[in-house]
Amino acid sequence: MVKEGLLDILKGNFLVSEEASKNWRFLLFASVLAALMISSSHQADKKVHEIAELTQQVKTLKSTQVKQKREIQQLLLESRLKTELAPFGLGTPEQPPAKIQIVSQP
Amino acid sequence: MAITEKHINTRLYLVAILFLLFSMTIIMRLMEIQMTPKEELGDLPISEIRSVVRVQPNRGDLFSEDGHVLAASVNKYNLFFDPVTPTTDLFNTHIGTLCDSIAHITGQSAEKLELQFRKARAREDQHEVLMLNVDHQMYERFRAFPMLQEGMQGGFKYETRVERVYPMNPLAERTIGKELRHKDGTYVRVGLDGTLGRDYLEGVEGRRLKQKISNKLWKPIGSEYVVELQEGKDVITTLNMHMQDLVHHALKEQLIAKEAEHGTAILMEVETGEVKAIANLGWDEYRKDYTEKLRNYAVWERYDIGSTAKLASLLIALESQVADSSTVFDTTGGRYRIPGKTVEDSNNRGYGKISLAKGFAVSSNTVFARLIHENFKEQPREYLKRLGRLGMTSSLGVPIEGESEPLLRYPGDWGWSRITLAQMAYGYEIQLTPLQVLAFYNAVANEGELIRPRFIKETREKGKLIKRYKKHVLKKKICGPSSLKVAQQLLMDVVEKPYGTAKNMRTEVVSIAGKTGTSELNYSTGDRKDVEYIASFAGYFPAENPKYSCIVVIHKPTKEGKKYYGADVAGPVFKQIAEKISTHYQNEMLWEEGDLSLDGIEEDYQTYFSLAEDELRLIPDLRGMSGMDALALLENLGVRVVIKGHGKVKEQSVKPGTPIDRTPKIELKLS
Repeated sequence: MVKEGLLDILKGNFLVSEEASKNWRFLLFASVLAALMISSSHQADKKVHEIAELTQQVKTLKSTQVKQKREIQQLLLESRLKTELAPFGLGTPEQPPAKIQIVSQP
Repeated sequence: MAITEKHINTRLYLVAILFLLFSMTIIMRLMEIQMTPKEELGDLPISEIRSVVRVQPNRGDLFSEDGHVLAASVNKYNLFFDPVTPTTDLFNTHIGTLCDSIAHITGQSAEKLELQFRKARAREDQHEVLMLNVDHQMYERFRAFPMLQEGMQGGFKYETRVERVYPMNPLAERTIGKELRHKDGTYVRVGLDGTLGRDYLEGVEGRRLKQKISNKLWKPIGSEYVVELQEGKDVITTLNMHMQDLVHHALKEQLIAKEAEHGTAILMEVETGEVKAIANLGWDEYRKDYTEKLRNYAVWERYDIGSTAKLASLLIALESQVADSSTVFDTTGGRYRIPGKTVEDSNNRGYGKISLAKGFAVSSNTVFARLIHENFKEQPREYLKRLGRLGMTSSLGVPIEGESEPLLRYPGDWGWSRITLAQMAYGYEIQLTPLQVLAFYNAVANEGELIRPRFIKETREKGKLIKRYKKHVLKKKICGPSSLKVAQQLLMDVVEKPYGTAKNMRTEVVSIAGKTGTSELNYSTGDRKDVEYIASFAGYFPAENPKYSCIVVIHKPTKEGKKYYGADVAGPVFKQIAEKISTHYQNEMLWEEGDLSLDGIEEDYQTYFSLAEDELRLIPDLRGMSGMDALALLENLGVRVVIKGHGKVKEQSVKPGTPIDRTPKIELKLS
């Protein structure tokens, strides 16, 4: 029995027999599935490349950001401003500033 | 050879069986992978094509409260040139311009570079160093150079690695710290970046089954991690870089002026215990400057806390009701003898008969030695127990490695003697770190609530808040409200009273409360020349409604002019910090609309407005005008203004009536 069954398969009877149309449908389905699998796997590969590229971009942007931020931070320091502005006669106030907020009356 | 059907069949069977076996193996293997538990997969040997790959988390960044980056990980590059790979045509066309470009950046000679590269090409050396350890901007510049812009074909090669940078250096450098990894996998964790590394910044390395798809890329298989990756979290610290800047420079200026060995200054918010600024500056012989490179003195260094301990003695006396602020003590000519020791006042004639309150303000050693020795010599443990209640006998548990425990002696300990108690009363044989002393003073400012000094405000992941940290109360009440009130008043007296040791710290800008401290170092050698001093001031401001507490401790100031006392050395730093912080962070003043006519503001404005409205051709008479108005007016006309002084214009260097186009510059003296 087993031998016959195996022979049938090897001879390709399932492709040419009278009921082959059913098998063909399945085969078609299986091959579409296979094609889908292959393409999705390729898509995944592409995504990996894309992710790697974006990660690199994030890193470079971060490096740039940190560098710029460092410059700004150092410029914002009061001690730095003081030395930079001393030639213009500007210094830190000795009295607290008063912020005026006008509360409009009804 | 004749081919029979039988032959074909046999071969077909053979092929079929082979196929069958092959597919069976695949199915078996698939099932095996499906059935094996994940943990075992984790230990699979690293294979070339498919393996469990380690996924490194990104280390979190450290920020200050006001949004400055304190520590961040960035890419650094080593750039190389491979002179062999480019085609002869490419090489010969561009080598000259490439060398010019490189020379322009590195300052080398373009001719020499070209010669070097040509030689390397001849001997097939593919690894010529262009520049090492450069940032991304520089990498981009090199990548845009002729030839190198062709990428690998143009011979451009680079290595990249992640480096930790500290953009606020040298501010709070020691406290921000760093993490050093030894080759054997152990860590040295300095400051916040080190200590917080383990729990927050580092994250957890993930493990994921991956398949290799190209030279450097691995594709994940399946949607799950074998070991879940956890990215490092960003930590927002409580440090404020504006305040840090003020504290750092105030301390540094004084260290330079006093030629001191090292010093520390800490600023803390009273209500929350948030450490806003912390400076640890020491003389760095190698760099010939005061730097943050040496030690975190604030957290690590124990010192004899000197007269700042008198606040503890005072509170203990008040709490145990052995004295009140009006109890009178005789300073007996500035000397108080107990067997084995004579306690001396810094004023060597003493202060006569004075109340405990005045004794505190003038910082009399004899008063406090007598107060504690007489009342607790029979029960020294009671005194130490009460010190414990004030929170002065245990460490604070701050998130920086290396905090020292307070050093105190208990009866029966090695070194305990009959004079220990008297010494402790005015701050010897009791060693704490500056941060521990500050926490105690902060508790007094904070109505008796002792809080652990805090360094962490929030943790975030990709900008999203993960956790906000609350204050950690160590003791709800260190003492009763009435004792506290007296202590607060006496701390104010130290600055406010004409006889207070810190009367020089009085300022119009803000009311200060605190206590001076001066302790001696090397006093046991017997030679007065060896003696060095530690000057300190601990306190808070504004005195009536405390917002910030602060401590300044300076070690080994110059002894010249005998100005080595707490009030002379540490006091001015404290005063400067208090003034600047108050000036900057003062509450807004609200003005109602009707109030604006005050002090002739309206009149001033009208003068300014009418002048600004006219198209001026001549320099007006500016005298009596507000300096700021005059500045605005003149600069709008394109005249450079130099202002000297504050207030209203008193003198102007250019006479009224001079044409403006002939006045490039004007000097205004204000008063």
